[in-house]
Amino acid sequence: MKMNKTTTKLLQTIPVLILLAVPVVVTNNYVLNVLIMAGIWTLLASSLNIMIGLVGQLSMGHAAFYGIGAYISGLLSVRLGIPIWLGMPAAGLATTFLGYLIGKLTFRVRGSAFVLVTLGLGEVMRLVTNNWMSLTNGPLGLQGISPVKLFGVNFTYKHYYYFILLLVLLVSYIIWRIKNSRFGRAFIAMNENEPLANAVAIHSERFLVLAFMISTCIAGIAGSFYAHYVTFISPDLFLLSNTVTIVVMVIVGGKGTVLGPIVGAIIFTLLPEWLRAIDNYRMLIYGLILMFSILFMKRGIVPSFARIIKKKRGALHEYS
Amino acid sequence: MTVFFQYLVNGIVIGGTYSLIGMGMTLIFGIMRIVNFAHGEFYMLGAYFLYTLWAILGLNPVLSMLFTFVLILFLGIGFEQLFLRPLRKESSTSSMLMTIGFSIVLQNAALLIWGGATQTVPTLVDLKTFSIGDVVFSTDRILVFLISLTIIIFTSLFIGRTKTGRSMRATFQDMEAAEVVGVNIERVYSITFGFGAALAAAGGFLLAPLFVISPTMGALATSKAFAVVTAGGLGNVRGAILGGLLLGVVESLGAGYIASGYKDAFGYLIIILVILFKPEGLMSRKRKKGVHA
Repeated sequence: MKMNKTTTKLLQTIPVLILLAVPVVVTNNYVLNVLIMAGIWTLLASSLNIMIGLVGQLSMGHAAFYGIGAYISGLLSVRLGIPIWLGMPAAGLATTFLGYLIGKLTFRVRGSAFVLVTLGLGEVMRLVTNNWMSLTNGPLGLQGISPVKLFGVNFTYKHYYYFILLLVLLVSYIIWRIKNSRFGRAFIAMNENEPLANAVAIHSERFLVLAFMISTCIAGIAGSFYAHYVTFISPDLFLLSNTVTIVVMVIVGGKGTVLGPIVGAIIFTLLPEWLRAIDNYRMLIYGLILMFSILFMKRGIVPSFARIIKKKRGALHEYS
Repeated sequence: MTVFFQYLVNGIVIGGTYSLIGMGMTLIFGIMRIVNFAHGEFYMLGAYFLYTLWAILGLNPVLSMLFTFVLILFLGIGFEQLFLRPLRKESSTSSMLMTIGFSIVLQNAALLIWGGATQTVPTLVDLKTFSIGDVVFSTDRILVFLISLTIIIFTSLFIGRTKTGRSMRATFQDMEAAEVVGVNIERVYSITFGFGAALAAAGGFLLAPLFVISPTMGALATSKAFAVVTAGGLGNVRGAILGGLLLGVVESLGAGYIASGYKDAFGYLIIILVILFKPEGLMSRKRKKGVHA
């Protein structure tokens, strides 16, 4: 059963190769659209995972950063004709800066205050985008955001798919690197025993702010992608139900793991597509799933499966 | 100046109910150390239970309110025992997530039961207005304020004078010491959560005749309760009463003088300013001294 390192590495590249091959095999635009949306949700879930899973802070305003990213990129496009290649970095920078401000402000008091302020941000942003008619077009939403174009090629579903896949791989790599770096170890130390972490010179506030900045930056970029992909945005982006969906993805998939939020995002993007007929019950079901997974599956799907597989392997080793 | 006083009076009337909601949340936080994200949903249920019992089934309004209070009390106790108790050893994030899950369930269940359209609840008494100077008072609003005041006094007596209240205060000050001297902590937790939820429901059924009600009204109430509790200091009951009045007045003045579209954002403004300049709450002196009656 033992594999050497190179075979393990080769095996790890297989999923990536499959993902790369998808648009070659699948030409159905509906399927590609679902996959692209799954990619956007993956970005959001993975970035929220940095907060919930790595540093143990519950951010309830993730949809706000997503929405802000979308509005910045969308407004730049509609009002000034700026393409995504400038809009996306602008959205990322703006949400990073906002993450810095909010982090600086709230991590002094920690825990519940952070939850409150992030929760409030979404509501405030919804009020602002709804009321500031002259800029955002209010509840009617912002139309006519330019689709993505590169070297004169207008993006089709296939291109968008590769674009979001690139972002997802990049973000997953970044999170993997964070987990296995000095930062990651500091995060875990803080999560487990903060006074002790502080005692060994881990400046927890600074690390928390940094983690939050990375998290919000990715959410902003996801928003920018969404704006240019769908070409229409409305204040509904800031709805709490979006944040809740992202939280459910992280918790059910498995917080603190690289793969968990990806699995969660895919499940909860596909599930509503299959459950169209009972769409009215969707949020009710999500709520129940959240409650019962906290009670009975605390670690989430990915870590639970990993444990089962490890156990089986362990058993095999014993027998072989 | 008349206009100013009118806004002030309106703000105090609404603020009384905010105090109720805030007291409920601050009790739960003070004793259980968790932020109850389902708080607004208990408030929403308070409004809908009154609507169902009184406006639809035609029960006596006072009885309807009492029933609602008791029903939500038991709903809170049941939820605490089934879903929060198993998480006692976990981090507070798990408990917070649990209340978030419950709030989503309640909100969407209400949406399925009562529908998404807004409903109106008839006023509790015949609507009459009278004026002192140029400031207009209406009977329904005064009644709402008086009932809020009664419940606030009743709650203070409950915490200050009864045996259960004493156990709650003991648990707040030092949970382990309280347990050592024979306070049944689990019971205190359950009663606190149920009572906190019932106070939120009281806020809901009092405001229901003044505004329209909808299944999604809870989210805003939760955030307002946060604002009240942050301003008053987490766990500080007296702070929550004053914080509620403060939020009511700030909202009323803000909507009147600044922009009515942003009325609901003033609560966040309070949260952010308080966290920036006085994170322990406006009413605190040096240290929190315990749950004050």
